[in-house]
Parts: sequence; C-alpha cells; structure tokens
Amino acid sequence: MGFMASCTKFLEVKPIDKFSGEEFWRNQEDAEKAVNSCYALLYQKMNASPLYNSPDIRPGNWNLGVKKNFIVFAANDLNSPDLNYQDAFADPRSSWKTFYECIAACNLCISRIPEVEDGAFSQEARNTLIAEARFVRSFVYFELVRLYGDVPLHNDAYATQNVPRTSQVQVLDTCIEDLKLAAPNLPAAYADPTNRAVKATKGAAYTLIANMNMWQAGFDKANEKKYWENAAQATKKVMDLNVYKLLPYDETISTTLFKGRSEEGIFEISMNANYGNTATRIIAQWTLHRPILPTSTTLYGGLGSEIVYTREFLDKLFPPGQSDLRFTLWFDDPYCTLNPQSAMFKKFMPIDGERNFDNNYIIFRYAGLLLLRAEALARLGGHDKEAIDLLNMIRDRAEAQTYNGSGGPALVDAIFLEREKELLCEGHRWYDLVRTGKVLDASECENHLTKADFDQGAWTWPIPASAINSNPMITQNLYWNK
Amino acid sequence: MLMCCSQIYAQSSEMELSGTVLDAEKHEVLGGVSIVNVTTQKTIGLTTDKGAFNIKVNKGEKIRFSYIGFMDNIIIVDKENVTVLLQPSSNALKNDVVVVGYQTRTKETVTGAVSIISGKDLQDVPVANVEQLLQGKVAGMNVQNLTGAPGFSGSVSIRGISQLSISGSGDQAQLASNNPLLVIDNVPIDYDGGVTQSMLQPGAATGPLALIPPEDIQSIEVFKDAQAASLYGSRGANGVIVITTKQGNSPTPVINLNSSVFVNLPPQLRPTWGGNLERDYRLYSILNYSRDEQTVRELLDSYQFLTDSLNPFYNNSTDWQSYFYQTTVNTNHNVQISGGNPKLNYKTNLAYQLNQGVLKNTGFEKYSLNMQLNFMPTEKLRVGAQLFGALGQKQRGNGGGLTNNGAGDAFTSSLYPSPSHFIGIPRLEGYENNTDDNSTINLRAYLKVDYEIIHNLRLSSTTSYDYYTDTRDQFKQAFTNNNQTMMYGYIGRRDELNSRNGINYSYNTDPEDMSNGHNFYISAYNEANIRTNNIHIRDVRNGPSDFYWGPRGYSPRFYPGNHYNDANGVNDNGTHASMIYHALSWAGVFSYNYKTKYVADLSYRMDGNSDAGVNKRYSSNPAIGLRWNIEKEPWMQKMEWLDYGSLRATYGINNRSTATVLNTLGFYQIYADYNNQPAIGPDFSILPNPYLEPEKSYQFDVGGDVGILDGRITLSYDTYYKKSYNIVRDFYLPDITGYNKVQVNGGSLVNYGHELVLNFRPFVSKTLEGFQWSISLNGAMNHGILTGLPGDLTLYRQYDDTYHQDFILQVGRNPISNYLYQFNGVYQNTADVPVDPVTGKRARWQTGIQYFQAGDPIWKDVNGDYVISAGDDKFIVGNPDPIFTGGISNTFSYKNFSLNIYMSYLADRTLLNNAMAKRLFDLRYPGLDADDLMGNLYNLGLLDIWSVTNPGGTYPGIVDYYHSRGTASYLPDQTLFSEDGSYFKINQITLSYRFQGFRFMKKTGLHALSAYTTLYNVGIFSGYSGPNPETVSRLGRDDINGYPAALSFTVGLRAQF
Repeated sequence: MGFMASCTKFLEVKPIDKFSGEEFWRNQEDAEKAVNSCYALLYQKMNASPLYNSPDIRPGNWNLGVKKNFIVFAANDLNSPDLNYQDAFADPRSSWKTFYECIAACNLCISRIPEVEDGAFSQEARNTLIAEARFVRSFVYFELVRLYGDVPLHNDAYATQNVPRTSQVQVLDTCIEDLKLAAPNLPAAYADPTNRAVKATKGAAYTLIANMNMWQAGFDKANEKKYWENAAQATKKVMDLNVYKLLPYDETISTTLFKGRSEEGIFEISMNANYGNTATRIIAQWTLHRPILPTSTTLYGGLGSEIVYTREFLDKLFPPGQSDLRFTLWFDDPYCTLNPQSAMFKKFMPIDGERNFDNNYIIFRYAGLLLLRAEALARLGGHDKEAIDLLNMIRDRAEAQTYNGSGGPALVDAIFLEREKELLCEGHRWYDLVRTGKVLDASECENHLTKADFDQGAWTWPIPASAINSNPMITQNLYWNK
Repeated sequence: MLMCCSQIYAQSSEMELSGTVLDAEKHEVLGGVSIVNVTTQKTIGLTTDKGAFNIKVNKGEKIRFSYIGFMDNIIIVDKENVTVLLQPSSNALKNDVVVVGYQTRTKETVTGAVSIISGKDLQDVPVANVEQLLQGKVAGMNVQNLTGAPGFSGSVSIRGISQLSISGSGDQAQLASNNPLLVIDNVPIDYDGGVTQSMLQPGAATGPLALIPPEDIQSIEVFKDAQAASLYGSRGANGVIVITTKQGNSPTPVINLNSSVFVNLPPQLRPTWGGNLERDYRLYSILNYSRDEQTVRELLDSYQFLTDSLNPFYNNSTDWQSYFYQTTVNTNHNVQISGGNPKLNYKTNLAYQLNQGVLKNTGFEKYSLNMQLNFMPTEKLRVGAQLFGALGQKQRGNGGGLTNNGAGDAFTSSLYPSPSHFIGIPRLEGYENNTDDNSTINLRAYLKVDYEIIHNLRLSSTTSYDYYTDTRDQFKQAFTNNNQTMMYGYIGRRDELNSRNGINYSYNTDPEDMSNGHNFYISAYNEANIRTNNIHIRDVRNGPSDFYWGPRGYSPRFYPGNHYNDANGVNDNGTHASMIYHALSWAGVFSYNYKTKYVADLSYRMDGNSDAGVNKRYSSNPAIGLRWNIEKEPWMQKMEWLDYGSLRATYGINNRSTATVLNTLGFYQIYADYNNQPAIGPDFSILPNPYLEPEKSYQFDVGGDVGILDGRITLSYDTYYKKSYNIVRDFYLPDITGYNKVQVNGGSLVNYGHELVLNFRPFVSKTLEGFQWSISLNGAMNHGILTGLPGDLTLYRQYDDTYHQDFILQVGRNPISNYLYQFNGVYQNTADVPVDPVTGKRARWQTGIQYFQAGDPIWKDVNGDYVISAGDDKFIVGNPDPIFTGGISNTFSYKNFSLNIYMSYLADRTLLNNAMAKRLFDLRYPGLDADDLMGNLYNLGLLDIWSVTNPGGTYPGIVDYYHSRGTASYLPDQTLFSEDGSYFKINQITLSYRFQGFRFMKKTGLHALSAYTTLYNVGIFSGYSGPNPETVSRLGRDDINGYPAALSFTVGLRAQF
C-alpha cells in the first residue's frame, strides 16, 4: 500500500509556471480571493468604457463641441464609424465578454465554495461569500439588460452549450430570486470601514432588487403594480436597516460623498489612488478644465470644457432664481459667461494634474434609493404623503424649495425631475428615461425615440458582433439590424 | 544453406583460436562480427575492424559467427588459426538483430513491422542532420527535408499524420508534431529535443539527430506498428526509432578516420525579370492601364526609379538573390578509437563538422564526443557506461525554423541600386551584420548494470541522464530594424532523468538450438522519468547604440517589450514556459516460440504521468503479435527456391494521456486587486474539462516476408489499419460562457495503407572482382481519412488571415484540406462572362466594382449569384499529406570501385505556390510603393498569360492593373496556384574506391583506405512550377522565404590504422 502511495506521490507535481485548479480552492482565503476576482472583473469592465458608469450623454441636452463620438452617441447612431475606440466609446458594441467572464467567475465561486475542504472555513463564511458572488452576478445581469435588452442567461459554471437570449423580464426575475437567496446571508454592514459600500451588503441586494423591479415595471406593463409593490417593499427593507443616512451638502461634498465609501453609499465600485487604481473612464474628465484640470485641452486656452450642459436643460432642472445647493455646489460658471464652453460640472474631482479620478463609481446611494421608493409609492397611489416626505428629504438637504404640489402624475413627474437633478451624471438618467418611457418625449430628452423605434430596441446597444459570431443562437436587436 | 569452410572434428581441450573473418563475396574483412559459443550459449567475442579475432575455446566446441546482412557460419573448433568466410545473407531475417523494447532478438522471431537501416548506408555524405539521410529508406516513414538551412530539421511521420491541431497561419501554419520517439543506445529521447526547445518555431530545434555523427551509427531500427512500439508506451504512439552506436571490439586499438571536404552550391533560384524587362513592364502597365491622366502623373512622379532611366543611380538591373547566396567550402572529420574484448571494451568517437549555408550568415558547426565502456567482470555481471557530449552552433541569419526571412527579402525590385560603399541596404546589411546565434549543448550519460542471479534469470538496471542547454542570441542593428536596435536572448535548460529497472527470464528446452524446442522469455520492468524545463527570455528594444548589446541604457519607451511572454509567463504560442514532469511506467512482456516456427508476443504497459488529470493517472498499452515462419514447415522443405517465408500479424492499443492538471482543473490568474484586496480568479483562456480521456489509437498490421533464389530476391510486405480516436481538439465556446475554449475528445482519423520493400540482385558475380548490382526499392501508400470531429461536427474551418487559404477538416475526406476558389480557366471573350439577368451586369468578385471581362479568371460561382465571394463560392480541395512515398537505391561494384545511386520519391500531394502567387498578386500595384510591395517581378515569360495578343492564354491577364485589382485575378486562395507536388529526387550519388595492396599502406600502418566522392541533393524532377516541391511547409505552402536545399559536392577519405 505504502508503495503504491509513494508512486502516486511521485506523479503529483505542481506546475511551476501556472497556478492550477489543483492548488486552488483549498481554504477560506482562496475563496475570498476568488470572490474578489468577481469584483475585480466587474471593476475591469466598468472601467473599460465611460459608457458603463455614465451613459448620461446618450439622452443629449449637451453642447458636445467637436467630439464626434459623443455627437453620434447622443444621436443614437450607435453603428456609426465615428463611434470608435477613441475614449473607448465602441466598447459596448465590440464585446460583452468581460461581463460574462465576471458571471463565469461568480458561477465558479457559487459552485466551488461549498466543496472547499477546509474545516476552519465556517458555513456562515461560505454563505456570505456565495451571497456576494450572487449579488455581483445579478448586478452584471442588470447592467447587461439595461445595455442590451434580452440577454442569454448562463448560470452553470461548466455548461458549454449555446443558449439564446432570454427575455429581460425573465432574466431579472431569475436575478431577484437569486438576490433573495443572497440577502439574508449578506452583512448589513462591514465591520471594516474600508469595505463600506464597495462590497455586497443586505442594503445593496435590496436596492438592486428595487431597481430591477422598477425596470421590469417599464417593460411588463401588465404587472407593473406588482413590481412597484415589490420595489416599495425592498426599499423599505433598506431603510429599516438603519445603516444609511443622507450626508449634508456643503463644499466638502466632492471629497466625502462623491469620493465614495460614505455613509450614504449603498454600492460603489472601489477606486482609490492609494491602491494604485484610478478611473479615467468618467464623465467629469470632459466637463472640467483649468485650473481644476491643468491638462485640459487647449479649448479656449485651456479654459473651456469639452462638453457642457445646454442652458435650456440647466434651466429646466434648476429654474433661475430658485435656490438649490446642487446647482451652486456642482457648477462653475454654468451659463458660460467667459466663453461658450467655460462651464464646469464639478461633482467629481481629479486627484492630480492628470485626468485621473479616484472617486468610486457610485452605483447606488441612499438618496437615489429614497427617490426610487418615493416613485414606487407615488405610482402605487395611496402613499402620496410618504412619497412627498421622501422627496422633500432630498430637496431639503439641497436647500431647495419644498414640494407642496399634489400627488398622482404630478408627483411622479416631480420625483423623476428630482432623480435627474440629484443623480446628475451618476449614470441613471438614460435608464430612468427608458424605463419610464419618457425617452419618447422630446421635452424630456433631446435624443428622443419614436414609439416604433423604441419597441424595436432603439434604446439598446447593438449586440456585439463577436457575441453573434461565437453563438449562432444570438439574434441582433431588430432596430440595429437595419 | 549455411556454408562452412572449416569443419574439422577434434577432441575437447582449452586452446586459443585466432583468425580473420571475411566477406565471402567481396573478400573484405568484416569487423564487429559477433562470436558465440553455441555449446555454452555465451557470447565470447567480436572481430576487430581488421576482421581479426582471438578467443579461448575448447576443442570440438561449436562457434557461431554472425553479422548483420550475412548468414551465420558455425565452425567446430579444431585448429588454432582459421579464416572464416561469411556469405552475404539471402535470409536477412534470421541474422538481423533487433532491439525490441530493450530486448535483443533475431528478426525472425520479431512479430512487428520493423525496418532496419545499417550504419553503412549512412556514410560518405556529410549532412548536418542524420534525419536527411533517412529519407526514402524506410517504407512508410515519410521524411521531408523542408528546409535547406543547415542544422534545422524537417518533418518526419510514420504511417500518416495522427494529429489535427494547426497553429499559425499562412506559410507559417504548422501541424502539431507527429514525431516518433527516439531511443539512442537504450535512452529514450524526445525527437526534436522537446517542443519548447524549438523556440516557438517548428524545425528550429537542434535536436539529437543533428548532433549525432552518422559515422558513429551502427544501425537504426524503425518500429512502425503498435505491437513493436507498445513497449515504449505512450511516447511510442507515433512509432519508434532506435539508434545503436558502434562498440569497441578489437584487442589492439583501432583508429578510424573519416575526413572530407564538401562544397555547398546555391540551388536554382526563383525566376525573376530584371532591369529593362521590369521597367518596361511596369511603365507599360501604368501608362496604358491607369484610369486617368492624373493617376499616371502621380505614379510616375512617385517612382523615379521607373522614369529616370537615364540617371545612372536608377539605371540598375540588380540580381538581389546573388547578393544573398554564396558558395561555401566546408569540412567534416570523424575519428574513432576503439578496442577491447568482450570482457572490457571501449570506444571513443570524436566528430567535427563545419557546414555553412548557401545563404549568407547561416550555417551550422558541431562538435561531438561519444565515449562508451563495456565491462564484464564476471560471466554474471555486465556493466556498460556511455557519455555523449555535443555542441551545435547554428547561425540563423535573419531567419526562423523552416523559413529564412532574408531569402524572401532578397525579392526587392531589380531597379534599386546595388549595395556599395555609399549605399547601405538595410535588408542586406542586416543579413551580413546582424547576429542570430543558436547554440545547443547536449550531455547524455547512461549506466547499465545487468546481473544474472541464477541461470537465465537476469536483473537489469539502466539509468540515463540527458541534459540540454539551448541559447539564442539575437542582435539587430537599428539601421536594419526600423531604427530600433533589438536584442533577444533565450536560455532554455532541459533535462531528463530516466531510470529503468527490470527482471527477465528465458527458458529454452533445447539451449543449444532454439529452432528445436519451446522457447520462453518473460520480462517485467518499470520506468521512472523526470523531466524539467526552464526557459528565460530577455527582449530589449531600442538600445542606445548599434555597437554594444543592451540591456545597458535601453530606452524605457518600448519597455516592457517582451511580447513572447504574457503576464503569466506563458509563451504566446501557448507552450509552457517552464515545467516539471514526472512519469512512471510498468511493463510486462511474455514471448514464446516453438522451434522459432510459431511465435507469439504478448505485452502490456501502463504509463502514468504528473500532467495527467487526477482521475486518469494511468493509461494502458496492450499488444499482441503472432508470427509463422512457413519455410520451417516440413512440407515446405521441397521448395528449394524458397529461402524463407513468413506471415506476421499484430494488434495493439496505444493510449496517450492528454489530460493535464491545467486542462482538467483549469488554471487561475491574479487580477488587479479589488479594494486593495488580492483577487485570484479563473483564467478564461481554457475551460477545465474534468472528463477528458486519453487520446487512443489501435492498429492492425498484417505482413509477410519472402526470400527466394538464394537471396536474389527478397520481399517484405505490410498492410495496416490504424485508427486514432479521442483526439483532443480545441472547442471554441460562445462568449457567454466567459471562456475562449475547452479541450474535448472527439477527433478521430484513420490511416490505412500498404508498404512494400523489394531487394534484388540482377547481377551476382561468382568472382570477387566481378560486377555486382543490387537494387533496393521501397514504397508506401498511405490514405488518411478524418472520421470524426468533436461535438458531432462534420466540418471545421480554420480561418487563415494571411492569404485566406483556410484549412478545412471535413469528416470523410483526407484529414486536412484547403479551401479555395475553383479556377476554371480564363474568359476568352467578354461575351463569355455570365450576366446577372436581374441587374444586367456581368459577374464580379465580391465587393469589387470591376466586372469580369476577357482575360479574367473563370471562378466557379457555386450559389449562382453572379458574385464570387469568400463566404459561399469556395471549394474544399487538396491534400497536403502525400499518398505515396518511397526510395530506390542502386549499388554497383566492380573491382575496387563501387557506385551508389540513391533516389527518393513522393506522389500525390497538393502544394500551394504562394511564392509565385504573392509576386503575381502584388502586380495589381505596378509601382514600387509601400513596404510590402517592393517586390521584384516574376519572370512573366514563363507563364502563358492572357493578353489581347495572346487570347488563348491560360493564366489571367495581369497588365491591366486597375482592372485586375478590382477582380483580384491573382488572389492566392484559388486553385490556379494549387499544384501537384509529386517529385522524383536523386538524393545522392557516391563513387568510392578502395585502395588495396599498395606499399605505402603497409609503411604507414594503414589497414584500409578508401577515397570517395559524393554528390548530395543532386536533382529533383517535378512538374511543379516552383524551384523545389520539397522545401515547402509541412502543410504544403511554398513560402517565398523558404530556405532552398543546396547541392553539395564532397571529396573524402576513410582510413583505418
């Protein structure tokens, strides 16, 4: 016996140039690193193109200067050759593989972590890690759905077969079930403050559920009430956690709230210059100029931003004469009095003379969640009081005029406008326009779509050719087939 | 049939017997004849190189003399001095000795398909690589000398291809290795010195066969079937080549010298139009076929080379090829000192060869020393030790493995001024001044101990160690490399420790005569193998000066510049950068024969290795072989014309483990930290497949051997059916899996064929001095058929992004085919072009706006849409693997002269003449523009090209460049360039003269002296349009950068002191 054992031992050799699956999945530490790789892949993709964290150019309402790729993007001409690798604008069109790599990494964690043979690895710790993987996977699907509409579901770590696209409502249903499994196992908050908001929590899971439901409501109109109810329940659960609060708006807001990891943050992609990672894929790199961004272009001698909001749009959000801290804190020379591009949008600040930003990518924060709850309640009806209270929480913080209008559609519209204001350039406006159908409305959205185009998927991105080539069951979105 | 010269009976008492052994026909002395005491069944000696022997025997004992290629002679000891004559064998079976699975036995009891090449057939021609001499010598072993670059290797495959993976594209596309296992003096060795040693380019390795001097080779055996190869385990799946080097065997030291001088001559070069012919053509094309005057002006303004013919600076007709090629004079020396007796013998072989290539700055220089000592202190104990050391230094010029870039770069327009003191030509200068040296040091040692515990029960142990260091030092001056110096350093260290321990027992009911009783042999052994490989690469760009090599002071701008390794240390072709490998094997053999008439072999071997997945550590290789020697049947004795006749049949299964820790368990990589916490996640290049099975093959072989009319004619025939299945293929995955591919079983292919070896002697002179002629002829036919692809696919198309000559793997066809437009001639008239009834326009090519007209190629329009497009109008055609291969050898001798003419042939193989296609296709731009279009002009006079004045031309019109650009008339992916690559080649002609009876020989102590002259690579005859149908890629692409094979002329002397 000993002889055979020694023979077997002789044949066990570690590869010296690769890290094989044989040496991985041995203990809790491996599992933690693997879950970190899920986040790392998400980070990698979200940082691959500005269009993932801030698609806020797509609705238009900007003065885009000479930037051709921005112009075609804001004209919804997504197959245009002008939409190219400059500023990584073609990334969503060229490949979605990294999203699916992230899903595959999550799948692998979910299937391997229960099998790790390590007595010291508690069931609780396993459950938490698995729940984190489930959260990341669901979040990736949510991104995919909002980008491409129907997408293939691929939740088996070892499946290799081609699968067709699944309807987006069904994809999100699957994800919500997944998140409901995950949420109880996730911590409400992390003991280590460095993990605040940048890793999955109960709050993040319920916020994602709420956002998914609100999205579904826009596409499954027959059941919209159910989704609003679900969203209201999910947002309530977040509030009941008593973990989050609204930070006061003052001059420091860019280095507290928008730096990330604040008490208001629910889910953010970690970005920190001290950790060696900074974001260059952020909308603020084009909205700033000297002296904040010394390396800004020579536009007006370095005194012009490459893109600025149009005056009409600003007036709609922040009517002249009405006070709003968001307007005064975030904008410098909003009306371009010095030169036609002299306005600056200052929500996010770079850390050095380069276009390197170390703000977390803020995905969900408490203010957004409160407004989402307000919207769900307003749409459901019968909860106007609470909805108005929530809306006024946000407005009060910004020292803006209290809402004292009626409930019903007026309230829904007011909440929508408030989301536009509060979450400006945080990557929500286009998706809010799409899910509420306001993208069809020329007064709400410069790049508005016709109903027919919308139904054919004009709001989506073209499915990447690489995805279609590698899987014949994938069909192109009708609108982009033209 | 045995001829005994001295048969005198006498009484038994110990005495010394001495004498000489001679070839009964030629009366030459025979060295290395083994002497066996039949009475005691012991080997008692070998003759010296002078043919002498001196042994201790008892009177009346039977002594057997035997030698490869000769019949045994048994004498009964009587007097003290005898001359023994050995008759050339008419029955090679009985006497040829074969080492099968490390066991020595006579060929008549071997059940498998084995071919033997005597070391004598490998003499007199100083090649850089012994592999070159094996071409055409073994039926069913296809050796192609794909390159003329000295020290590089070509391709070898036994019984067709057994792999389906193709890497690279265009002319550089390469098939996965089908190499057999090499066993040199009982040490198993990777044929090409390991995959990684090839430095990412197939054929680049200085493998063991390039380092071993042919003069040192005693014999080479090639095992082709599964039974013979099964004892070597998984590594023998593609066949086994066993090489035995010479041993010492003379009581007084013998010195053998072989020295030669040889000249390498540049071969036929590619046909070219230069000077006025080139200028006139280009000008004519521009002036007459541009679409408007502005284009003409722009083109003419851009190319002063063309227009300013009165300017002496531009008035050239430079034959670029002549600047790159050279004639070289080289030498080859080999000294062998040997001596001893069966109890203690030694051999030392020292070799040197300088072999400079016909392309400048290329060549191979090698040194080797092979020392062997055999010691038999007692009858029971035998000890053998060997130490082999070699250094091979290769200059690669500007080139790679099978191709040499410089040769292609020579194809610059002839109008450019030739190099002079004032004009530097980067390509040429790079050729002369750049360094690309590749040296290999090989050390190999073994120790073998064999002990007889009790009678016929032996224990044996062999340990060998094989070590390689490969280095490649490359430095390119900035002038020759886009104004950026380049330094590339490669160091690879590879070693293999192999240990084999076993026990064997033989039992014969009649020990005196095996042909009279039951004979048993049983053996069991185990083999352990440890291999390691370490590779380090440095790649530094943009150094500060052309005069010292980096890395000091390199510019950080291009750093990190090492594109050969990715972040994970993986070479960009996917091979392991470094590795450790362990293997363990268990084998058992049972062999039985009755009166050497009925023979049965059973064997089983289990192989396990550390690369194999956790679930399938071991793979098994069982085999069975049967043989019936018919001539030993009593009822056959009447047929006196029959020397021998036998039937053989074998069956074996070979399992080659392909599952690795990596492809079954996946591997992991480090990702950028997330939130300052380390992240390790899956590497998405490959999805783990825990269910991977070993690649398997089974093979039937049925054969027979016949010898008739006292050796006038011998014939050997084999037919086989080999199925390889479970072949691992990369299966590309939809991107939603996240992974690129998974490796799965499922490829399968069948090779079947016939092999025939025929020897006959039209003239057999009775006198020693008379005229002798012997012919040896062999041929093999192999058909390969792809029978399956994974995932039930029936077709796999491997996209080729260089020339769009995609590879097709289609079930039911030959395993690899091309995918081309079918060229059906040239439109004689514009009216012949089909017209699309819908649009009223003539047919066209893809998106081209030029419609076909007279002089354009007629391509078959498969889908009938009047548009020839890559998507739907291509055909699966061709087969890059030859159907027929073989060789013919003629030996004439008369008095002291002997003449050998050696030829080989290949038939039924498809080649794509890309060298021609590229140069013709480039003519769609008649100017001398952009980098890759500076080519010179093909000799258009050689082609029957359509033109208005030659409306019957069989090649499409070309001079109307604007039009043919639109119709892509000469695109390379069409059957116009697909040709039959059959050839008949005269490999070698050797004339030698043996000095005999001269007085100076006695004075100087010369025992033997011969002079010889050899022509090697004499000529190749083929219908192929390129210069040489052999120097093409393994997949049949004739690369314009291919290194041509050189004719060499040798004068040499062989002497023995």
